[in-house]
Amino acid sequence: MYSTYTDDLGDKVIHVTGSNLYIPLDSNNGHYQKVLDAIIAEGVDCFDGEILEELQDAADTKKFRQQLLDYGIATERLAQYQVALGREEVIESISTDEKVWDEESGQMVDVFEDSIVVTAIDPVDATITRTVYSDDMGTNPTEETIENPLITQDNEERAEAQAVLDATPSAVVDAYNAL
Amino acid sequence: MTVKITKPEINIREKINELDKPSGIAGEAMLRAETPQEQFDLVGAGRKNLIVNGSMSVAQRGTSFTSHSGYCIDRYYGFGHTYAQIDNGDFYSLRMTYVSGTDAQIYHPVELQEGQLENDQTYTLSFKYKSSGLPLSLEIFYREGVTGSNVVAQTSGTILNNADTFTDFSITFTCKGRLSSHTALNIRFGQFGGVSEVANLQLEAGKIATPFETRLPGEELHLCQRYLYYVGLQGVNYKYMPCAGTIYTPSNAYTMWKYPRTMRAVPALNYSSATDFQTVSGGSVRNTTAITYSGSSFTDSAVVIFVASGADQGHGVLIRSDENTDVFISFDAEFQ
Repeated sequence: MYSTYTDDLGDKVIHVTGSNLYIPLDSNNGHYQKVLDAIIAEGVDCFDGEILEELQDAADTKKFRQQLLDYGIATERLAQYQVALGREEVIESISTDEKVWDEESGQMVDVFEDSIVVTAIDPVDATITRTVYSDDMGTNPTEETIENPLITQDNEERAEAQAVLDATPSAVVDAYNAL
Repeated sequence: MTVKITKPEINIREKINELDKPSGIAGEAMLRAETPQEQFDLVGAGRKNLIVNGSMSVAQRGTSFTSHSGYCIDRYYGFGHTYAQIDNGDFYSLRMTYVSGTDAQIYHPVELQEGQLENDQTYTLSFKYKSSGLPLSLEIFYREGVTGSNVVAQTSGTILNNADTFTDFSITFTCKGRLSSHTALNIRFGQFGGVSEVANLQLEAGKIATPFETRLPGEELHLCQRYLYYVGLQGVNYKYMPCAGTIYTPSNAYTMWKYPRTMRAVPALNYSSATDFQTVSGGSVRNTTAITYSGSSFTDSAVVIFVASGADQGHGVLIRSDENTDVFISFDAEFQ
């Protein structure tokens, strides 16, 4: 729990209730950053009395920046191919910066050549078979077929990234798109 | 067929004289040096170690911390286990003893500055360690402070095999993924049971671990005071504090504290107890009942307000400790 202390001259610091710790309003101070984290996580519940306007603004800004960063990371993660589906090759015609004479059109034309801009990646096997050993020494090992762990991990990470995107406020999305 | 060649004339005597060119006393000493450390010492080279208190010699808060969370010896942050500075005679080490629960951990946050520990730059971390029980692990990562967000690993976790005696270890890595919000490169040692010690922690540019750079004690303390200025009484009572002030109101003595050096950030104020101090003013000594901090403090100096009623406004004031000997007041600009 925090509170604000104001001295005789009107200058303010943050006091940690029940301790001898006073925290300056300085963004470089490590304790100050912890105060912002508490405001982001708990809101007014972490403060005895009103939260200073400049503190609330700083907390809002910190939260916005973190959401922007998380949104970018999640977007990049979802842009990666799905290992269960693989990836198709993408070929583009790219100008070679050369020109040749075209007799049909009667003019110089650009020379293009096909270039692979995205390589193909085969999908991984949907399932794998693994040997399961029993704790009972007398029992023979058995085999079981499970979803390919690469697919499982990929799906989990994609689901986490999608959850981040879904939870991101539109103002953050707009700011990301404007970058 | 005969081939005819010509050689330029060489004055052999002149060449021999050139070989005899005096190299001077310093040059001779450099040539006679047997180790790189001797050469460093001769030319005063150094200041290569980015770790502050890599020697583990500075311990402003104390030297022993039981089941402690927070900073212990200067610049090292512990997480709930027991930590102690150990004097090994010719060097200090930091001992970490697992207590219970989650891993025993010790962090050292290296302050990030522009042009240093930037992406694509290569650094080498070296130290000596010993451990028993479960093996010691090492991780290096960027982070916002010590416990903040956006961890970006610089190395995959490294397991250090147990060693009965101090053993040298070094690891080279190339920085990657640094964000503008990162404030520190954290070096983390962890252990899930047992006892370990680390010493001579050094982080330097390049791919080679060079001999440990030993700084003068005063210099190491001065570097640490960028992060913590700690005034302890070291067993003495009625000791006057390094500050001066005025009785601004009959209850409030405003005192100014000048730090030994500019601190990393405006520090937080902490102290042993509000009743550990006395104001000395106008021919009277008064016990303090509260201590507060002025928001006008900044990175070079602080204003600390000692509350003791009944003083005459406008008088000068000195602050001293009472009869207790374990009194302290500290200014903390460490990463959290």
